[in-house]
Amino acid sequence: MLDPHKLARDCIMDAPPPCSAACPIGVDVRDLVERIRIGSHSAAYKVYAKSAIFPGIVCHLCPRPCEQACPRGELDQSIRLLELEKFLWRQSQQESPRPFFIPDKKKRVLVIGAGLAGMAIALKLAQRGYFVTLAEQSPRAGGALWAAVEDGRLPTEALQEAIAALEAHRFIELALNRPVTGPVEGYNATLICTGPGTPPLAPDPARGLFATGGARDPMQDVMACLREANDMLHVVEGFIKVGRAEPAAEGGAVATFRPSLAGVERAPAAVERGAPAPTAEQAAAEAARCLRCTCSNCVDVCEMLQFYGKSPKKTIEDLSDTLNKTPLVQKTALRQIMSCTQCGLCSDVCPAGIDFKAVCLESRGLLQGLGQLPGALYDYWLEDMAFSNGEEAALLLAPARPDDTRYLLFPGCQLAASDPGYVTAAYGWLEGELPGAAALLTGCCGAPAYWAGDRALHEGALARIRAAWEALGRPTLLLPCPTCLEMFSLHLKELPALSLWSFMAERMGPAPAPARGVVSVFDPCSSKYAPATQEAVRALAEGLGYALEELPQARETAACCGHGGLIYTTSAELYGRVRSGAAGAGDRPYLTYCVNCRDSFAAEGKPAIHLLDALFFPAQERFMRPAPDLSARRDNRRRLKNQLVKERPHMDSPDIRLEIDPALRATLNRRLIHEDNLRAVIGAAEASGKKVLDGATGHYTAHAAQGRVTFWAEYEPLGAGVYRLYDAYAHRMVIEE
Amino acid sequence: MAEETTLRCCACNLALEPRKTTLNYMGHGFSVTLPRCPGCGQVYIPEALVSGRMLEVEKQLEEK
Repeated sequence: MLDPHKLARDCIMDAPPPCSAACPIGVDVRDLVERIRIGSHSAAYKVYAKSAIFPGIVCHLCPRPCEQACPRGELDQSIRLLELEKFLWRQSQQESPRPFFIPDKKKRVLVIGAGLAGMAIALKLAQRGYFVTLAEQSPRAGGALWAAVEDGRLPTEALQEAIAALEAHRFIELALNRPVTGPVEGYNATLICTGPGTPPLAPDPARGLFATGGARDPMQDVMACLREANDMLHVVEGFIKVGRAEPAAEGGAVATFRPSLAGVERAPAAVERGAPAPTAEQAAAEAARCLRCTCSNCVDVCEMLQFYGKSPKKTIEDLSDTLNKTPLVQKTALRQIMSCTQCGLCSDVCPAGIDFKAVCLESRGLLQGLGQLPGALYDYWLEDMAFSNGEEAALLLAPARPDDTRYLLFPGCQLAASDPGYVTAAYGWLEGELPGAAALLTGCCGAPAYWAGDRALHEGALARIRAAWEALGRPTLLLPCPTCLEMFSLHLKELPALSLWSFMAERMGPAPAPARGVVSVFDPCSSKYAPATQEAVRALAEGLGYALEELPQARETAACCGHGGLIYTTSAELYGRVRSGAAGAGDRPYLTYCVNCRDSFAAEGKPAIHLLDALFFPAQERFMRPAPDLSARRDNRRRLKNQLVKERPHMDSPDIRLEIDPALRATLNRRLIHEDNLRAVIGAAEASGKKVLDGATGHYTAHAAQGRVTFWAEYEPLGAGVYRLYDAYAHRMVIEE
Repeated sequence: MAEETTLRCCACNLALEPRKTTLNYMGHGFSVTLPRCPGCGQVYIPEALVSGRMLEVEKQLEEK
């Protein structure tokens, strides 16, 4: 069940970058580095000190887990963060810290042991207004850290500075030479930080007696020690506030992401690893190398998300509003939901596993169920589907003895719309291969209804196919259209179905063919999860003599040609962008196996053929075949049926013939107006006389509602059933006449 | 509107006149003045209005 709130939680757009996720004390590296880059050194130091507690110690002893995680490391060299931290620490020594007022909480905590853990937690508690007695049995604070000073890893001044910070704090009493061997009265909580060995007191969280990991040597794991100090702070504070000892939260792995390195230029580190005192210039140059990683993986691969210009979180927020049933809430993500091409690239790259393709689809269904999905955004496609499955276009051709049917060719709805010859050629080949065993069913697989979230209509389309399959004795379906193949695999699992291309590749086998030149196979987005089909297409193309040059996005990263998800009715502009992006992805002519892709490229002026062009037509002439317009796409489907159903009375030419100049024809296509629509308007107006004459031009204008759309035609009768069309337009507002 | 003077209803042979007309979309109704036939009420809407303001309002209402 779709839950936008869960999506918002899952989306890791705001997650820490890989470096911060790997940092045991969670330094906000992105913020810190950015501040160094712009020269705000004091502010950067504050960001650092907030997590590091003792910056001077951390910047010398941290084992650099961030460098391991830094994505730049894959390209050239990781950001030298420890050197940047050293730079900040050196800078900070030239400034005197500004004291600020902390209200006294009037609570007292005893911390036993002034090693790194004890010092860190004492300072943290004091910074929150608790009075801390830091009891140390030896004559100096610092514990095992002095060993690091002695072996030269930690400068003396770094440790002295840390101890001085404790001594200077008005809420800390540093009690040296004070061993604690038994319970001490007068404290709200006691914390044992004596490190390895037996603790002087047995911990008893229920009575406010806590201990940090006694077996851990701070020199072994400085960062883990500080992290534990941080965790214990919350435990102790929780006990003081509510009297209950909650165990420290498990510090599991922090969710993060791997950003793309595409387009990042190589640049070597500006600071040597181990440099004791980098200069401000070196620090700024090193900070400038930081990629400031954020997760924008989905946006990077999705034209739609880029087009709407919202962050993924904002999109999810808008989705929540859009699915809100309250009438007054604006559906701010409606157009985004309806603009998803359903290519699925975003879900492939999302580290949180969010499947935005499925989210959009489910949202469409939810809105459709509520009656809140405007027909303007999808019903053109449902009408086209109804046409394909209706009397004028749908057909079933069975062999003379239907029981012999072993294969059923289902070319889908668009192959014949583009060129009826595609279907007759493919069916002709099949009949030649399997005489008397192949049947043909034309029509739509139901994808438009599925994408429009119209469950009933979708079921109807599936039932039609299932019924034909049953009637023919359950033959194996052969599908040339990759979208049909995807839809069958999702919704008609019980029907055995093969890609026509796999079937052909197996039967045709390798045959020597004269070279035909170089093409790029454009894998339709719906073929992404059909690697066998993609291979079969390549085998067929190579068998036909084509040399193949792969596109940057192919196979499992196949991109959309613009037609997917039927987005044109929602945003013609976005459709145009996706289409031109796909057409421009490669310099070679394209060979594709989705006819919508083929026609999209033809409309863009990109030389492209369908695999059937290569197989059965003089392919060279077909690269520049124009994409048929919307009216022709209908007529082509009628023509196929006319041609194949012999007993069908020959289709009469229409009573009304329209003269339309090419520019206006293009406008009609843009407005999704068919000649059928206009013939109906003009026919009714001429029969009833209900039309308006413009005395200035001599043109008639008439209108008529058809379904949910009102069509207008401005025309002039030329006699003998011929009409010159001057303009045509349509709207969805209903006129009360 | 310039067209008003030259537009005639062919069914009634009357000149169209600006009249109040109700348009409905997505459950919202509003009144606009459009050229209409005083006899049969036939309406004329020019292309510029359909492709301009009407389309804009349709889009707004779709997101309501």
